[in-house]
Amino acid sequence: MTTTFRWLCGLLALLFAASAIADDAQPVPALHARVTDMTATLTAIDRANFDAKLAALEQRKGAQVAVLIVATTAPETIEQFATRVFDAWKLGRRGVDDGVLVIVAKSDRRVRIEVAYGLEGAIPDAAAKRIAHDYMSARFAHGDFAGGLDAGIDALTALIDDEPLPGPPASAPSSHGRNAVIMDDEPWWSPIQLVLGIMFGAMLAVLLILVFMIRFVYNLVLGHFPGPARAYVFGAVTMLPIAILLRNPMSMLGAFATGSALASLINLARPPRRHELSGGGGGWSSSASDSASSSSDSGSSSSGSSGGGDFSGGGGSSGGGGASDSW
Amino acid sequence: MLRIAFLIVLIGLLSGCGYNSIQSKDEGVKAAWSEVVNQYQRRADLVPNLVNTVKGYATHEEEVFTKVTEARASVGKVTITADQLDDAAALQKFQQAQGELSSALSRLMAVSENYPQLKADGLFQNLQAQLEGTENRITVARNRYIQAVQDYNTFVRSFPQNLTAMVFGYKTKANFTVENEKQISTAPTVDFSKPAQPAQQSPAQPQSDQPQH
Repeated sequence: MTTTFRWLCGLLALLFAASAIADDAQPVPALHARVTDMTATLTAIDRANFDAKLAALEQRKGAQVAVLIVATTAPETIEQFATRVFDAWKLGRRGVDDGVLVIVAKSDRRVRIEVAYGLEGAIPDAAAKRIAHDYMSARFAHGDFAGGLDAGIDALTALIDDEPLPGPPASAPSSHGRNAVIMDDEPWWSPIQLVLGIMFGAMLAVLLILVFMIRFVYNLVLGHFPGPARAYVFGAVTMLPIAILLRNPMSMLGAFATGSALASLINLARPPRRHELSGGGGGWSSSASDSASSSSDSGSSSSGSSGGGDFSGGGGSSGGGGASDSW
Repeated sequence: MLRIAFLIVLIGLLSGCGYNSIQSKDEGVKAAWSEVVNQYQRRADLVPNLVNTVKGYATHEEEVFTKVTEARASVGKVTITADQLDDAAALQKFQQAQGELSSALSRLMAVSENYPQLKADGLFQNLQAQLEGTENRITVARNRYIQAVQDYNTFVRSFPQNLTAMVFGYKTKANFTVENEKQISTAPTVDFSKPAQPAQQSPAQPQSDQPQH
């Protein structure tokens, strides 16, 4: 019976670990560099030039400006696509939200400058429209993409330089928000919580076993229950502090399972003998094995952080500000 | 068997912990709604400037101006606080009022297409850019609200959280309807079929003509 129970717990743990769902990745280009050109319009020299300018801007002010050139954004409008890309890339520092995204859709003949919350004062919609129309579209209409982007970047840089942005530029990329915060609003079936419950449950259970070696405590708590149920009651006792601390059903389940498994392992059903407190042998085995297992991350890391490149978003967000233009 | 039943009952009871999640999702919905209202307000604030600028050039489009001003006034009357989000009818009225302002604004912008001097005016171009930007912000804010409400509603309707929600009186929240969304997202149409201005307008044009370059 206890063996099947342990198997059941193990199976449940495996099932929940396997069901860790990662968010469906939209086909947003991965962010590796400041200038992403999916259409091979720019030469390598141009790209390096723009990259240097934008990197210098980030060093000076902390604001992150990125350029993306795609062939088309269909079936979405360029505004919808820009919003999605910005949500994925998370340009700008978290909290400051000083990111700008310039998207050029070549076949659609549209350009959009998406401005994040923090820069809406420096680059209001009217200014973005003017930059898009006068500096960029005017040149794009003649096929001069490099020139248009150059002028646009210079104009944006000038506006951002004037704006008093807080603090020195952040040098380290921010950590994955989702994976770092464990106590946050997780769905109740989260495998991370299960692992936490098992870990804390194991530690607590070992402590409790020592306590339960006192015959008085044993009789008080477990004495009322029939032999086989004592392991489960021990599991429930283990679960109680975890419930108060973590308040998550999966951790409680993990703690309960660990507590019961440990108890049945050391044959807790048999009460300790009188001289147990002095460390005699007898019904309880001296070693308790840890049933903690490691499970996979429930992470859905956004594609905003770089996988191999040296540029990644700082965690900023945008509210849909900026302007679009067509040529 | 008894042990497994015990385990299952335990899991069911433990999920009363959904209470905390309901709270945070509820707050998320309220925050998203505040943002939506914020952006709609921003648009409403643009309207007086826009009307005055267009009036400077398009002096005989009284009907359009009246409509826009009336629509803006009615938008000011229909407000929804974050507590009233359970009420689908109230949201419907709100959407309708905003939709009327949207269509009045598109008519105004369509009218401006007939006045090249107006289109060339720097101030008007600024206002137009601001209006487009605000419309986009409204769209983004609405999308985020819709996602927040979807998240909350799904959670509140799933077992076993729906039991907790029933106990504490948390109902599902209203969402934007598709009909109005289609109506609102209609791009302004430029109507060249009907005569743009009455015949006596033409002599008036040179008077408002100013060197623009």
